[in-house]
Amino acid sequence: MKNTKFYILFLLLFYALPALAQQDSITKLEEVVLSDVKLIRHSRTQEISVLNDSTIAENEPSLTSLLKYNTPIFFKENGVGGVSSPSFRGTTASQTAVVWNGININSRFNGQTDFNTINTSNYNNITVRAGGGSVLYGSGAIGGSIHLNNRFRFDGEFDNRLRLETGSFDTHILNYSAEASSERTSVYINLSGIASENDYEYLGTEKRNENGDFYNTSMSAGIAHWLNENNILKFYSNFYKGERGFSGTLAAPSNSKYEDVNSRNLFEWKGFFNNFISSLKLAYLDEAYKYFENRNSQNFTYGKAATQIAKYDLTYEIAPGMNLNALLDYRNTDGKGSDIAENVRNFGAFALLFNHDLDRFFYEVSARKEVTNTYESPLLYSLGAGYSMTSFYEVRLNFSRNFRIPTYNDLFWASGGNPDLDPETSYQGEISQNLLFSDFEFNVTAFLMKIDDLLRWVPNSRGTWRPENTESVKNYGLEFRGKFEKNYGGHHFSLNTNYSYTKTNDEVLDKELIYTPRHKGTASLGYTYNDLSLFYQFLYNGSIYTSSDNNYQLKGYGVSNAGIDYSFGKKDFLTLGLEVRNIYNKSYQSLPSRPMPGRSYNCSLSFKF
Amino acid sequence: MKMKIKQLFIPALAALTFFTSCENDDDINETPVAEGDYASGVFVLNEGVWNSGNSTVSFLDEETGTVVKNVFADENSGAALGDTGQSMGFYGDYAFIMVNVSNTLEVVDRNTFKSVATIDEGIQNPRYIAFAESRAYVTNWGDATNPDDDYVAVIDLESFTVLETISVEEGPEEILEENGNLYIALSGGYSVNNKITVIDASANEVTTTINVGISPGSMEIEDGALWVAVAGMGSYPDPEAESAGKIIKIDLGSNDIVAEFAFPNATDHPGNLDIENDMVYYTLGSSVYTFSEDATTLPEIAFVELAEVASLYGFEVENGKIYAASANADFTGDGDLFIYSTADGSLLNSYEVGINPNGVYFND
Repeated sequence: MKNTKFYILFLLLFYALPALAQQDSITKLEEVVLSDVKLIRHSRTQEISVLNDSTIAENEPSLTSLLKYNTPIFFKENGVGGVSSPSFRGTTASQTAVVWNGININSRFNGQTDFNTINTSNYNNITVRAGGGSVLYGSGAIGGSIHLNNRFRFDGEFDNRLRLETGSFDTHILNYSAEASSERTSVYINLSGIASENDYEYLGTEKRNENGDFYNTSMSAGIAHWLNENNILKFYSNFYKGERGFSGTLAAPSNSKYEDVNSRNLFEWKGFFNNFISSLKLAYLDEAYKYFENRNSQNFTYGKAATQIAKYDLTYEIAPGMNLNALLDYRNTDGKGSDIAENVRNFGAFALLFNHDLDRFFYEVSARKEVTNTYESPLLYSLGAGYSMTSFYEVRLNFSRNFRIPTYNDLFWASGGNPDLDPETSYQGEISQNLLFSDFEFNVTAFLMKIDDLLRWVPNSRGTWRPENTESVKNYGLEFRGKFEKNYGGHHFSLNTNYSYTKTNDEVLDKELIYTPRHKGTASLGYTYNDLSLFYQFLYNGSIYTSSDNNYQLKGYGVSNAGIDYSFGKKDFLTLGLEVRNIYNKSYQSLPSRPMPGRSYNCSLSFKF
Repeated sequence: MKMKIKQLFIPALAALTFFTSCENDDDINETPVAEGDYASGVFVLNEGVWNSGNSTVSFLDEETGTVVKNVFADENSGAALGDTGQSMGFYGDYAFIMVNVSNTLEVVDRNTFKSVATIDEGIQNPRYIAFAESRAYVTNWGDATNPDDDYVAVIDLESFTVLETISVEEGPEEILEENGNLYIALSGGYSVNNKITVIDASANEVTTTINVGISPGSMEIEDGALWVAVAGMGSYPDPEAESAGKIIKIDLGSNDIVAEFAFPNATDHPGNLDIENDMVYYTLGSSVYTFSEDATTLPEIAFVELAEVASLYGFEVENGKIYAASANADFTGDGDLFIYSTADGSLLNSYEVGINPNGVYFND
């Protein structure tokens, strides 16, 4: 739970005076250390929140758990470990982009990421960028984007960590990570494995979560090397393999099984030449799944897709604080499946980004145009400006146009794929205000978005389901984020809170969208004294409508977790942890007929050497 | 992914959603005048949303125009019926509900709707029910991905247990009884099949299998003949292989096809066959067609287009009225029961019922 120097720097970069970020050495350091510099450089007029390794360690190692307890994002969960998809600012699951070290990794088949297939311990930090981001991150960055980032250190340290966990429902977790570096070379590796029977009781019934077992292994590794003073090569790799039963529900048994394998590789060559920074990225993404309706049989359906990406990015520093970026992006995807004949899609994109930091005022303008053989793509753009009125008060505005492209399933599904679809497009704007003091930080953001040509599968007059560009929706809301940290003679207190109010509207039915709560809140309270630390976290999800006519609702709920950690030995050689989840044994469902677990326990043992 | 796969099964299921004919109810309706809140009226089975466990039964009293939306929960201390009610059947004082995804049969008193029994042993993917020799016969797909484990469960009506199972070919759907024989449409389940199989209820053995064409679905027995709407090959999985359906008439004495009405277009897939007052009714999409039992050709124009229906899930013709159950446009909210006149096709009434209503049953 120690902040490294890096994190202090990282936080400074996000929150400190703009002038600081203009210093050359820091610019170069960002470029070297971070995998996705644009997340800092071109997101200054939007709301960004960084979840660092101590927050990651405090939560279960799934992206769902981490984000539901620490951000305004709502999750639709098919029980623990089952399919989990986000609703960010009232949008659908495919309107949130998941970005791995700057590369959009949403599935080519359904345009979504299953947040239970991302093991958070593979990453150094996970950043949530709210609002439109299609200029930078492409399809699906409408509600916002989630960034899984790895970084390199060049501090000569050698760091090894081993973590063992065991918990209720026969859950076992193993995690090993190592980092080593010299001044010129840096490497990291992280290995994780989780296995769980996950057969928790459905509170108040005689039933259990049957067939909900899951296991997955994942690996994340990287190497960076300075060729000379001006050229660095970086390589990132990530691999995930999972197998899980899809559990039954309160009313229905299941014996289906889902297997997926994802691998991602990214190579980058970065060069620094006078006022230019040149970056060439080559990425190869592979995704494959198999679905067994009956896990005891050999019959399955599958999908497989490979994506190759080449990106060239040239940054020109026109003057201190004034940068122009030109970006070329080429993508080729080759996918097929049991219901999809082999199809190759090619995309090219060109983007220009400009940002300018004046003394207190800063603004950014960017635009992107994509060209592809499968549909008409709109001009995407983003305009943003901010003003720091005092050292502690800042106001920011952002307006953008974003999109989500039709997926392989939408276009090519054998029984109804519709090749004539247009992308979903959105216009969205937000205004946010930041108050920043030494131990207190407060942010409030108001947003409004209109999404048109929403892609939905609807039956035609002959009863065949086909995707169509249908209605439009309008969402608006408010987000509050508060952060408080204080030290009283070695007693360190921290409080992090989020509250969001989201109102969605289906413009045709004039009803609220299903599975989008109006209210969501989180709070986490931490206390550290010497080798002891305690935390308490609370989540509130308001009620959601489960039917488009708004006749049916699933009621809201609050859940609390608490944990204690104690470190022994020099440099915290050993840390013991105990966590109680759902301490009040609350019976609740995130989706209809899908009960979540009651009180459960988790013990952890971490070594650092 | 799974949701998307299932979503695509919905059309398949919808296309296969046909209804127990009123004909075999008539045989068992000669009971004394029954009493109970639901002794006279219309039941609508609402399948709910797949895997949401929200299937319900609604009750319409046509005389007062009142609808009770969730009869099963109301009469059974709020208990849930289960996941995806597929069809209902009636025998004596009992109503049976095949709850497909829950793998159960709910037995209730047909007049009070109080639960009598829940059968869950020996039931897997239950579809339709018929009665013979004081026993119930329920078609089951078994494991839907396994083409070789489909069966008919034979159920004792005193103990409500499965006595034995009769293995049949893939995808048994609708089942009708006539003179101690059971006629089962083998439409193929997730796959396709093309037969009617006949079981002799006294021996519980398959006696005959008749080739009828791809995807036999809705059936009705009238005057010693079995009428079948044979849907033809749908556009899934191969749009190129789509083929037209037909309506056939099988003589139950000889088990021979004695009349065949072929549809002209590959996209014509007839469903919801029903016979009322010597007129055969069927649907194509949400258009209703009708022709006389002794006609020799199919009608060229629709009798009525059900303009109000967003997605036709349930269909019956009874006492001069067409009962059309329509799912809500996006299948998550409450559907409607629309009632039309068979005289002129005009809309007589409409009632909001539960989520995704797929069957209409008359209790009288």
